[in-house]
Amino acid sequence: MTDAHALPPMAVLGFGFFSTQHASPEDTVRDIRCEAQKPKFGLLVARARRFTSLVTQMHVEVCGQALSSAPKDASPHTIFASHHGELHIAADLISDLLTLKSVSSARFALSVHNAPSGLVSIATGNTHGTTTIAAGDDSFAAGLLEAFLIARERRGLVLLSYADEPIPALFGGPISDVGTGFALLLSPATTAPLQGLGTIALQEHTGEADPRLPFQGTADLAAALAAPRPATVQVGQVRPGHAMRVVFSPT
Amino acid sequence: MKYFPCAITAAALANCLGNTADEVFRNAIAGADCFATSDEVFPGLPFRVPVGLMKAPPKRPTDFPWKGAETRLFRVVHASAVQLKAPVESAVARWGKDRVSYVFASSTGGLEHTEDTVSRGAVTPIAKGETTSTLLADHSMHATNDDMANYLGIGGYRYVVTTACSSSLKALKSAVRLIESGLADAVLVGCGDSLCRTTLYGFRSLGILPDAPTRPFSADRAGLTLGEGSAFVLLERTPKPGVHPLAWLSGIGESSDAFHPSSPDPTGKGALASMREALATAGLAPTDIDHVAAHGTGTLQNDTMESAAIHTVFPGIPVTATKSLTGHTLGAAGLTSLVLSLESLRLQTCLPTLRSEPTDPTVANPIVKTATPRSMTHVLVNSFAFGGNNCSAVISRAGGTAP
Repeated sequence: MTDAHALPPMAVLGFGFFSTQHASPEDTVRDIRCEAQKPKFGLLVARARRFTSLVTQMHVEVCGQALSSAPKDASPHTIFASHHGELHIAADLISDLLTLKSVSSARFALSVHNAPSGLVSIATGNTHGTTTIAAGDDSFAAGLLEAFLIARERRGLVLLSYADEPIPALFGGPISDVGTGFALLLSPATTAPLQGLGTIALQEHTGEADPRLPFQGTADLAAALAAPRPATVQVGQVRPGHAMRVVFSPT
Repeated sequence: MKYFPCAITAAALANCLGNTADEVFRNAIAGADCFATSDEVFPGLPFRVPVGLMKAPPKRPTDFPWKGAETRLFRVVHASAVQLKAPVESAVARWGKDRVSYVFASSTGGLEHTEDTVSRGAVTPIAKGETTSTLLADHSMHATNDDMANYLGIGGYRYVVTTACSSSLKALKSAVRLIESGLADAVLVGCGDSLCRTTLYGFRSLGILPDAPTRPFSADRAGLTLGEGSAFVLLERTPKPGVHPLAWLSGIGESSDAFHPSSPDPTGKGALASMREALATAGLAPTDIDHVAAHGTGTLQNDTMESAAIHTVFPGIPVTATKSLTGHTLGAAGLTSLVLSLESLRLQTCLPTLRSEPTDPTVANPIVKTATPRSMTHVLVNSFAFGGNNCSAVISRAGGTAP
């Protein structure tokens, strides 16, 4: 095997999508705005919801949506991906330590990039391994590659969740007011009964990925899954000079 | 399908014990206490605690077109990367540029640089039409990735694993997957975290950052000491003739506690699952393990849970907590401990756990207090994290053939 082309395709058993400014993946692709909305993130009990950031809430929301299609008692290996992670909590902690000379222990405990992964594992009682990936604007692409590799290794279900929230003012933002989350529940296509939405495969092509906002690839893919319709979606590049695409083939 | 072993063909370290692996090993064997105090790096904090502060890490060469700023994180990471320039270039020559990948691990990324920029009032709004800024780029987890990979001539996959304090052992597992799947023939696994105000304030707010240096497994332990540092290992598929592994990476186990965002499950179920999976992937029995390099943070919650879990699986096996030497280097902690264990295997000597006396009477396994000769073939390394994220690795002594 020489590149991601040769990784076996995966069956898509379910997906989740959320945008703070759009009612559906298709509306996100077309940038048709709705009234600003917040994720419900119903997986978390009241006590666990406190102090969570928007990016965590979006991760939890889309994981809940994707898991609603899961087989009973499914306990997938989970992969979380985000460019910026808990950027708003980092901004709050920095502001507090510079001005108040103290920080909230509860906020600090949720400041790590893998806070959503821990909260989802607790909420679902999932004791399998979980990982969190970052690769700048290519974080979703890198997370997807890791998901394919883990599914290949474990020969079982994997749940990939990607989310990023708008850049806070402390970092010079916002660039965009859109926060999005996207999750995929995947199973090796060779072992799962193909009763899901279809299959996805990875492709890599020589050449740089076109510059786009990171959430656009996830919105394109979510729109194709929701339709459902065949699609080839560029999601970024995980190695220099090799643009990665996802090919979705509906069942 | 056989995932292990992978050959570890080169390794590097930099932390408060030294800016090179040799210096770190010398001070570790000697049991040198190299902690500084927080006011030496961040004056004006409302508390003064010991820290594992790196002393003048090397500046980067000026004859390379670096993209990112020379932040504190950059200098911490670069201190290890520079040690592996020749071995990585050799691996690139052996396998081809695109066949060598780079997986980096960090918990805080460029947070210290952001704190500094904000404290100086030097943040500028992101320009209209731009999708990022130099501050965001230097803040992110992948801030140093392209620079380090380009500097070392790596052309394969590159990304970051960031699962807080277990990040670097988890990155090691990601690297094994890349090799096993055929996407890479060699992977450089690196990690680095620098000291920053947020973690000092944060662990202080949790009540586990005491005024005195950390005392893992001691009856008098009161918490952890933060450190900074980096560690690198070069993993290769069965090495080509003439390339001699330092040791074998024989197995890795992973688990989640599914218990609490920042506290370990006191029953140790997650730690047990992680250690047992590491053994299973290595094809080893508990009695094959000769030494355990513990996560050993010096907090009551971790040490109580971990010592009981280790005793369950490895009764009687000597245990070391090298965070008493290096401080807790967060995302770099797991690989730091693993590279120190490589030297333990090479020298057939267990490294010391400083300040562990009087040992907590509930700790059943012997804690190594001074550098101690021991015949060792397999060492298990633990790394646990916020979110109940657990990872354990087994490394095995280099010999003529894979174990």
